[in-house]
Amino acid sequence: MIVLVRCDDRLIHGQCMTVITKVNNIDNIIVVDDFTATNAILKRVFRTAVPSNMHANVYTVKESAPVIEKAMADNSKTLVLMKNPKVYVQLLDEVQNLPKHLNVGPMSSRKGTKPVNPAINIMPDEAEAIKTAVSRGAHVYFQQVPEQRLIEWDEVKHLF
Amino acid sequence: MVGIIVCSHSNLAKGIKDAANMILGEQKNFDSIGFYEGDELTNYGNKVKEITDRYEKMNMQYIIFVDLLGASPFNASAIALAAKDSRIVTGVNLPMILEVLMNRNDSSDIDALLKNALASSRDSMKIINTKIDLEEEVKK
Repeated sequence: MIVLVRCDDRLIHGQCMTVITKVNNIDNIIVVDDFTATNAILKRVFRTAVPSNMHANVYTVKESAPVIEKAMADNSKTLVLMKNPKVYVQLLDEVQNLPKHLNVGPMSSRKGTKPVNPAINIMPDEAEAIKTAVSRGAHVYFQQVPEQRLIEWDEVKHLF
Repeated sequence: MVGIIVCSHSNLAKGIKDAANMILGEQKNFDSIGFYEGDELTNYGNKVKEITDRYEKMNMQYIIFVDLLGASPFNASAIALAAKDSRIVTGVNLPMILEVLMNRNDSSDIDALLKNALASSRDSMKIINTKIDLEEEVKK
């Protein structure tokens, strides 16, 4: 089953491995990122980054659809990880019955981003993708780790 | 909840605290004390004592983590807490602190909590040969 669908522009990193996978008892991570999936070195590094009791692999959006559908049907607890909400919108087109919850985690401060909080910064095109996701029935919320207060899209949409 | 105090030479303790807060979100009952050039042992011990007294007043258990066995932050903490039933863990590192912070709410048994944290901290130490290991990985 898919336990969590999450955007995090660093993909697999300390917070993800220490907190997110443990709190959610994750045993399988599906990273969806065209750039990483087609770069052999990056792909190896991310696959090596997880402990041996967990499985992680990196896919392009196209490759990921059947893998996500399979994970939705089996018993392993799966985390779907992507760099930004634009990928989520692509997945809505590719994956039937994709979970309609999107957790936006850490997003780096880049030229043109607006902060939702100091750790979560959103580009205009990412905000547009969130609007599309919401209009298609997804619950989009911002939160780095579960201990922190969850920020709803409704609370911050006026910023974009 | 168990109070956590990290003690080190210079800014290491503060750095571990800042790093842990960055990863886990701001943590409560989590202190750091740095020992700097020119600092005096008794004075450092008093800083430790101030924090542990605060926890004792709140009826809370606490754990001291120090950077080096036998060095000043350890010596001062051990002297300050002599005769108490306290725990000082030496060789502090980030994985160990993260593990303790994440599990301290569920555990009333400090020794079991520490045993697990030390085991997981040992497991987290690995040598990755960027040539061999990463190439083997791709063949899997």
